[in-house]
Amino acid sequence: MKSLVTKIQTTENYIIMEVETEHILKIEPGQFVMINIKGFVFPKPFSPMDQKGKKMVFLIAVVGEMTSEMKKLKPGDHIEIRGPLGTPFIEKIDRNRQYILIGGDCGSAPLIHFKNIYPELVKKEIYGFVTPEIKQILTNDNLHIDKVEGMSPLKKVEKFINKDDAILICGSTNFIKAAKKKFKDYLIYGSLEERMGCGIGMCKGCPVKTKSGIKMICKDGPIFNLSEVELEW
Amino acid sequence: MVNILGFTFKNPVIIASGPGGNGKELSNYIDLNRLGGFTAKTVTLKERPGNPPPRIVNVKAGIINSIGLQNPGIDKFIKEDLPFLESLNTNIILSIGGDTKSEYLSLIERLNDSKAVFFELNLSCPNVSKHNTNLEHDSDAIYELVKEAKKISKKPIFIKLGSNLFLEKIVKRAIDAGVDGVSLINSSKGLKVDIKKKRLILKRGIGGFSGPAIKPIALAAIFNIKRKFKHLPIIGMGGIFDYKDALEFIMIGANLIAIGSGVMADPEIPIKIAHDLENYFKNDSYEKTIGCALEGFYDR
Repeated sequence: MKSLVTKIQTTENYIIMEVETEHILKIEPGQFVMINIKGFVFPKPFSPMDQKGKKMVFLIAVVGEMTSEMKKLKPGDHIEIRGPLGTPFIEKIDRNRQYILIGGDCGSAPLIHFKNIYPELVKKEIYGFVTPEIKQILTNDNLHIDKVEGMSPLKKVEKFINKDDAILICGSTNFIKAAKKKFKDYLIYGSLEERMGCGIGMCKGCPVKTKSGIKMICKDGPIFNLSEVELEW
Repeated sequence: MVNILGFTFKNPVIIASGPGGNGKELSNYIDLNRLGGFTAKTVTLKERPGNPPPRIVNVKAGIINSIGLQNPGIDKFIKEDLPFLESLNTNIILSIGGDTKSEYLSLIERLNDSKAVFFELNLSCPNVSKHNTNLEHDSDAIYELVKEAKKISKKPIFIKLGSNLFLEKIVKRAIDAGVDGVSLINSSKGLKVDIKKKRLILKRGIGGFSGPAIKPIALAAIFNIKRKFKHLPIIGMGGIFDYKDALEFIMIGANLIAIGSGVMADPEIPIKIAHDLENYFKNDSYEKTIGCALEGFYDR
């Protein structure tokens, strides 16, 4: 769907981009869209940080060729959006629990969206970034900056977590692996990241090993109960 | 309407083996019955888990995959995927893969009574073999395989090959063994380096490179085969993203055109191409367009 960039803020390594879609795309927290921009053939997946009506906001880390080009987008530019794709968090988590949300870098985006829609399911939030750079564009009371606090967000969570708490985490595979190890005695759902091809489960490009065989992160996830997945391969 | 080996296709647009899976997911987005055909994902005798992630690397004008023929194996395929494929009102092509001749032959026997129109022997997947070599480099082995396959197969046999220095020799041997057609080309070999981490992105290093960047390579391969073997049916594929791409393949001699990575970029691409080709052929004969750009190039 042809969509219009309406606002864009950038730092050296991050982008916050507001987009207006042609029609309303109702996106549940945890779902994602495939975004493509001029000059690229294949789209990439992004989870919005917020979505209301035709407006969608993305928090994007500048890590590769496409995101470097995205940084150059201006209000009025067009991008292509396909979705929503993936299973909403709410369909897979235990709704009778309250969650500590742990975001690793731009993995924070879908969790911020989740907090907006389901505040009653959130006990505490912590969104970890390495440097204070993110504060130039993201206003949120729960930003954790490793270099300021002298510890990782996981270490911080370890200090306040209670034995009955449950966790909802989103970030890089290494970040999630570390969390799974550290909080192995807790109910912990992870929204997994992987390079994707089609985004709809057919190309088999984004696998995760689970107790019931290989699943696709795009279609069967992105969220999984971490006790069901094997992240080493 | 397209006729090949006595089978009728509604239009020349089919889905290539692989990116479209076995059709169920794609059917949530497009009506597969609008297409000329659908090639199932390569099935092997035993289940294959595929390669470890990452399996997808985006590069300029293309994509490198390292899927590694993930598939449920023939038993589950027959139980869980074949009924859906057979329920479609379009032609089904079954892609089969193996490590040995006997594996291919067993698969043909197991699938001989299915409703599929052709078998496509995948001889060129870049993601499963050791040391990145596979059957497609051994023309004697291909000769033997096709000869044996033709003895037992109830359906025409296509072989799927990549771009290869010895393509003409291999196709000649396959024709001598009785092959009915060829699918050209499989993904090429590709690699990407992560310069920040100073290492290769894919665990196997090399993956299958597809997308618009390989279109000229595919056209050149088809050109070389079609001008030598004028009457050999060809399924052309490699970077087809719109009807103009498709026309180039048809004009160079492809009877059918298959969409591979295009369907990953946008699941609606095959339908758009089928629609646009239908419009194009309102004013032009499909039969006369096949190979029209080859006039003067056929070997006699």
